[in-house]
Amino acid sequence: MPTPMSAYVVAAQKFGTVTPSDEQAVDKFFVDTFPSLPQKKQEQVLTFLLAHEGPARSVTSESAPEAPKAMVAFALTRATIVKKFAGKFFSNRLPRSFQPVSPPPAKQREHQWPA
Amino acid sequence: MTIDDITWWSSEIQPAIAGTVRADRDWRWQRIAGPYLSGTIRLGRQRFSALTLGVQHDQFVRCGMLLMISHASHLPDQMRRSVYVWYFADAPRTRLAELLPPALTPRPIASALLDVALCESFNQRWAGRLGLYADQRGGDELLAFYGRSGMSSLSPEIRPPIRLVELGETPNDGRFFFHSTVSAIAASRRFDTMR
Repeated sequence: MPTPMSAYVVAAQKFGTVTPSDEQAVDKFFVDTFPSLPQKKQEQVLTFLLAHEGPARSVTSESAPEAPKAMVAFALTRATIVKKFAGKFFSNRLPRSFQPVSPPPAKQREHQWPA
Repeated sequence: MTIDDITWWSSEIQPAIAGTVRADRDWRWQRIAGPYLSGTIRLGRQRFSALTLGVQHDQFVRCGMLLMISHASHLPDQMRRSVYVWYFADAPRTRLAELLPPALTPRPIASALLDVALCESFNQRWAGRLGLYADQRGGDELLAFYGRSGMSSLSPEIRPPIRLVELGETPNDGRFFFHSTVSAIAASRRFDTMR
């Protein structure tokens, strides 16, 4: 389903220390508190919420780590591109913050996208 | 969309939806759209837009709510950009009948909301590319609606873009839908006479 309401409850608890049983407080977190959070924390919340878009599954505070394995796969893909086309047309599209990362353990790579 | 729109929807429309079996029966738009009312929230290049469709009568009657992400990855071709519809909801016709005279009741609302997203896709120069996920609670009826809208189901062997779903679990159950440029043009033509 589109990110379920339960994911918002967990996000408010995880990132805003909101009491999960207090529905009004959860609403208030997203309307009032979220817009004033530092951008990095906003991105963590949004990443958490978007990770629960799609097929339904259980929502826990650990179910969407702040640095998803998928991001590692994406970074590796980019690293490959940089290596192959170094100094050519792709490199100027990479953000300055981009840093190649070490390969993850083989077990994680089984689930990477793209295959 | 403003906080007034959300408050009004929560008190006037959402209770009518809560009594149904619709996929959005437990949605709380304070959470869904509340963070994006300033229009400045972004995640990387992705921007979030919350919009309301409504009709002015004795009061401003909100008929539909929409939250979309611009600059998202196109589902079947993730090197291309598209608009992703995260949430949208139309007011139940029975409830609108209590708020508006028949001549003023807009129709079709859900398709009009999708058309808004399509327009955003064209305006962003994404050539009408659009994606969304059909809530499982909407059942086959929701799948049929998106099919009638001209959208195609994302082939199950194609994985959705990162950030959209976690990996390590089943990320694509065949309920992701998308508009290509061709289908988007055909769908938007339905509304050309109303523009």
